[in-house]
Amino acid sequence: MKTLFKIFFKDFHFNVLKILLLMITSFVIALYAPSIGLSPQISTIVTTLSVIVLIFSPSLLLFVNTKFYSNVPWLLNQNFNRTELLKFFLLSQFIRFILMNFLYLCYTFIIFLIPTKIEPLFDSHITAMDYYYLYFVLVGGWIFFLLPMHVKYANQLQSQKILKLDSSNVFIILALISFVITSKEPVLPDLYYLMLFLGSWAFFVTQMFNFHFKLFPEKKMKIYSLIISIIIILPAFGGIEVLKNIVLDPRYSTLERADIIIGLDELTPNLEKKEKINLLLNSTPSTYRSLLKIFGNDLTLEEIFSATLNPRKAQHFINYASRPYSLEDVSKIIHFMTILKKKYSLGYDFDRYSYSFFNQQECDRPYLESLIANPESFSQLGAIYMAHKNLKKEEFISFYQAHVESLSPSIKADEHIQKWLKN
Amino acid sequence: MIKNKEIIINNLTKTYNKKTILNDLSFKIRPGKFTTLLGANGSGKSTLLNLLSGQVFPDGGEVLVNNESLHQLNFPFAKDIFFIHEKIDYDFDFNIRTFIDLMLERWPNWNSTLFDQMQKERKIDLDKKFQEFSRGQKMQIVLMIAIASQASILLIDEVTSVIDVYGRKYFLDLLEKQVKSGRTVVMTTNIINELEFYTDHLIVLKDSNIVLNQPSTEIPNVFFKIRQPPGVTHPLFQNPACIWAGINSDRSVSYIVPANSIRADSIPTEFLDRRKSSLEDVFIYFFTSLLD
Repeated sequence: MKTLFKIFFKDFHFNVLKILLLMITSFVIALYAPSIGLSPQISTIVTTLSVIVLIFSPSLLLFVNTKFYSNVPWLLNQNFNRTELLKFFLLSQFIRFILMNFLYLCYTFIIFLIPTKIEPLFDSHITAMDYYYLYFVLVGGWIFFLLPMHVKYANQLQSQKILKLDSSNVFIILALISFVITSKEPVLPDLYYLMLFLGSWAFFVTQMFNFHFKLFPEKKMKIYSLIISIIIILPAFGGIEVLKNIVLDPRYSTLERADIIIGLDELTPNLEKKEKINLLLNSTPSTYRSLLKIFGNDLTLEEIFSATLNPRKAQHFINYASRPYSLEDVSKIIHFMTILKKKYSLGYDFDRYSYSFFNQQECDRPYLESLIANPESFSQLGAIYMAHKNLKKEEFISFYQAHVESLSPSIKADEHIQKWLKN
Repeated sequence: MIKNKEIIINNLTKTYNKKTILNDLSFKIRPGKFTTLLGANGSGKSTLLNLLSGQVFPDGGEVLVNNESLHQLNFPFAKDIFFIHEKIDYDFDFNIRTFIDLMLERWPNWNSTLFDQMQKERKIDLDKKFQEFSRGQKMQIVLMIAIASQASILLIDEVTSVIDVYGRKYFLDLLEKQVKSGRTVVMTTNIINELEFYTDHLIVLKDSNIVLNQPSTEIPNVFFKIRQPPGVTHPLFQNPACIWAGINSDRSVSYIVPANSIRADSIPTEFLDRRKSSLEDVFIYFFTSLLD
C-alpha cells in the first residue's frame, strides 16, 4: 500500500498546492477586479470567470494523480494482489473526497468571515446557482461519471472490451432509447427511470471494476452485479411505499406532503378531491404549478379556482390551461381571471400570460363579439387573440378595426397584435 | 535465496465467445526450469500465460502456486510473479530511475549490481520516461526490471520478437543464468530456433489441448529425423507418419518421425539423420497442416 501511494500519489501535495494557489488567485481576482479600473464589461467577464474557477477548483482534485488505472495491468497479481490494489483504490478515493470537502469547507469559512464582501460577489455573478445543488452535482458527477470513466479509459488502454456489444445489440439499445425519448407519454413514471438508471449503472460499474481489478470470474460477477443492482433498487421501491404512506398521513404538513407528491408524480396514491383542493390551496405557487400538472385533470375548473387564490397561482393556472376548452369553460376561466384581476388590482402584465391559453381555443364570430363587448381588458385581449386564431386575416383586421376604439392602450400596443397587423 | 515455486494446473478450461481455447488442461510447471510453450498463432499460448499470471479467470479448473490458488483475492505470492508481455506500459510522469527507487520496497531482493550492468550494456538511459522509449527498448527495460527484481516466476509472452537479434541473445543468456540459480521461466515465442539451447522443458499446445509435454532431453527419444537423398525413392517416405521437415543444402529432404509410430531400428541406416530433432522440427510435425 505504501509503495502504491509513493508511486501514484507522488507530488500529490504539489498538485494540492497548485489547486490552492488557483483558488487564492481566482478569489483575489474576483474580489478586486471590479475596483482596478477595468471597463465594466471586461470587469464583469473577469469576475465571472474567476468566480467559476473559484467554485470548481476543489473538484480538480479528482483529476490529478489518476495514473493508477492505466497501470493496473502490470500491477495485478504480480507485485500486488487484488486486495492490496482494491484497498489502495478505495483509500485513495476517500482521501480525494475528504480533501475536496475540506476545501469546500474552507470556502464556507471564508464566507462566514467576510460575508459582506463574498456573498454579493457570488450572488451577482451566478445568481441562479444553488451552491448545495452544485456540490451534489459535483459529488454525483464524480461517483456516477468521472470515476467509472477513469476506469473505462484504463480499460481502453488495455485494448480490451468491457462489453461485448455487436451491431445488433447496439441497434436494439438505440431503438429502445429512441422509443423512450420519442414516446409522447412516458412509458414509465420518472422514478422508475431513475431506479432503472441506478440499477443499470450499478450493474455496469461493478462489471467495469471487475473487468479492471479481476476480482471474480466473469460469469460469477454477472450474478453479483445483478444482486448489487437489485440491492440498490429494492430500497428505492421500499422508499416509494414509505412516501406513499406519508402522502396519505394527515400528521405531516401540507407542504411536506405536496413536495413528496411532486417527487412521486404518477406514483402518487389516490387522494380524495377535498384533499387535492386543500393541497393546491395551501401550497406555494411553484408547488401549486407542479401539483396542478399531477392532478389538475381530476378536478373541475370550479374546484381549481377555489384553490387559486393569489396572482402567482393564477399565472401558473393560465399557463397550465394552455389547451383547448369548451366555450363554456373558456367563459368560466375568463370570468374567474377577471374577478382575480380586480381583487388584486392586476394590470396588463398579468393579461399577457394568457396568450398561449387563448391561442388554443376555437370559437365563432358571435362568441368573439360577445367577448369584445365586455369592457374588461382580459376579455377584450382574449377576443383579439382568439380572433387571430379563428378568423381569416382580412376578417381579423376588420374585426380589430371595428373595435379598436373600445380597446385599452395596452392592448393596442400588445406586441403580438402589432405584429399580426403589420403582416 | 530464490525459493522455487511449483505451479500446478488442474483441469484448466477457458472459452472466449463460446469457442474453447483451452480444454481441461492438467500439468505442472517444473520449478527452476526454462519451459517453452509452443503453438500456432491463436492456439491459446497467451491465454495460458494470462491464466498462469492470474490476469484472467479460468472457466473451469484452477492454478496453484505452492498450493495457493492464483486467483484468490489475497494471493500471497503476487510479488513472486513477473508477467512480461507487450501490453505492459509503465504510465508515469517520472523517469525509470525514480520508478525503480519507488518500487524497491516491493522488490526486497532487487539486484542492483545486475541491473546496473544490464543498463550499461543495453545502453538504457534511466533518466528518460518509459513513454519516450521505442517498443523494443520498452520490452528490454521490462525484462531488465523483471530479472533484477528476482521474482521467482517469470512469464514471458512473445516479447523477444520486438527486440533486436543481439538483444534477444543477451536476454536469453541472462534468463538461462537466472534459471540456473533456481528461477522458473515460462516463455512463448514465434522465433523457435533461438530457444533451442535454452529450453529445459517443452509444452506444445494444439486444438485446445497439450499434445506434447516433455523435458527437452527427451525430445530425441520421442522424435527422430530421417533424410531422403536426392533422386532416391523408398516406401518409407510415403508413410503418413513421416512429416516433411525441410530441404537441406545437399538437396536431400528431411522428415520427422514420431518414435511411437515407426521403430528407428527398422529404418535403413543410410536414411537415418544423425542430427537431433529440433524445436522447429517438433513445431513442424504438429503444425504441418499450416503448410497446406
